Amino acid sequence: MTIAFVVNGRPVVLETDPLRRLIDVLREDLGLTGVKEGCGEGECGACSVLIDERPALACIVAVGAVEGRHVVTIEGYQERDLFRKVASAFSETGALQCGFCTPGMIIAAGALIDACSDPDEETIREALSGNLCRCTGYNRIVQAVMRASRETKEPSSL
Amino acid sequence: MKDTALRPRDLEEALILRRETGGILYAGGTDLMVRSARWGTVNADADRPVMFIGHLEELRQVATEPGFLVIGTCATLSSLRGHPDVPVLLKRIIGSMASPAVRNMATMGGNVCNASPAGDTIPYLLAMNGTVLCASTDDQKEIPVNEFISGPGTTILAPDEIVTGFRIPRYQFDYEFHKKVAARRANALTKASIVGLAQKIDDRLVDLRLAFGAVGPKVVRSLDCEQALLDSLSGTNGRYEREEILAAVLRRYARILSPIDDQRSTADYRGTVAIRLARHFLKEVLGLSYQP
Repeated sequence: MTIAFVVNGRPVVLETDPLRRLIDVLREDLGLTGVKEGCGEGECGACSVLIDERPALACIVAVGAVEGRHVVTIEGYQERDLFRKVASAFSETGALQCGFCTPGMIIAAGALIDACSDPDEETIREALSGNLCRCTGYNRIVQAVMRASRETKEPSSL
Repeated sequence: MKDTALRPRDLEEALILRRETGGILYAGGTDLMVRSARWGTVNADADRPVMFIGHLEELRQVATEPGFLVIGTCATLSSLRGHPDVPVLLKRIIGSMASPAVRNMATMGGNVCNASPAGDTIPYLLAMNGTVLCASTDDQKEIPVNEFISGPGTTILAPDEIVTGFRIPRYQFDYEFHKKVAARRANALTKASIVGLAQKIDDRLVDLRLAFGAVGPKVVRSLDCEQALLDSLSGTNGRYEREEILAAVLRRYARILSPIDDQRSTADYRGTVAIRLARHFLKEVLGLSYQP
């Protein structure tokens, strides 16, 4: 089947089995290896991408289901101003060790900050509840998201 | 090579293709893709292609009719949680399901058609007397949810039919209770769950409904137990009498639950917790809760 969709702002047309997982198409066909496979069954959030600007899990989406839709991976996300704020908050707060969950965490955190400019701790933990991290114990990730959300509210310095 | 999947343009085409191929319906894919990865069931059968229906606008709508809410089978759980016409209780239940990213993809149609005894929207539909709307090229049916689901993982959906949505009476109860017991707060399948609804007129209990998830081959609701409780209350029972009535109805419920041991929990735990949850809710309804 021919499948046409948009990845990181670029139109993509593929002739492939529509039942292949989106994560495999992104990693193997398009070389977007920032999308990580953790559990492969929708439990861990490491493969989080945006589909039409909403977080989704690339390991449990068939590529045929994204026909005509906009997919953004961490590679495309890093062009955004919000990415820079979230990523620098993560590194300054020490919100990662091995980094495997970080692309997914940043996608989920960014989507939260887009939807809610001043999230409290409970809201952040709920928004990240589908993203597992086996290193940090989450506290620093929550702190990083709070920091990033504060910074997005302040007018950016030139 | 024959296509392994079909992508109808609209519901009309989907119904025709479903009749011709009996295609496996893919709504949000969140259950189907996991099953496919584990057991290869999605493309196991070359004669039965997968049919994507999640993109069909006709199936993604939420509409109100006089006295009813109609939820499209492919409306995502996130969209329902954000929708002004969706009742608060259903929103709370959806909030207990999966994770934000999964809820952006998963649908109520998938949750019900998957027909798991642990499917979290099913106790709600059952307690609310919700129905399943099925369509084929030449027929439309409305089926009560516990008739639609015939057993664990099975439904009576015909090979030429598609579930188009759910019709739920719009009715606010005085007491609305939901509790899901699971291993973690997100992405956890239910060990046991309950939806409780109750309505009083002048302090007299006139409507009581309990639906239990994951404690039997199907979601459990007993009209007999509900009626027995209503009948045994006169409206003037004293506290001791109400305690006795409560104990009697819980014994009755304990007899009809048939939980099993599996990788998520044990029969013993499930049965005990389900009855405790029912007791918690009924104590509140019967005015037996501890009040400082």
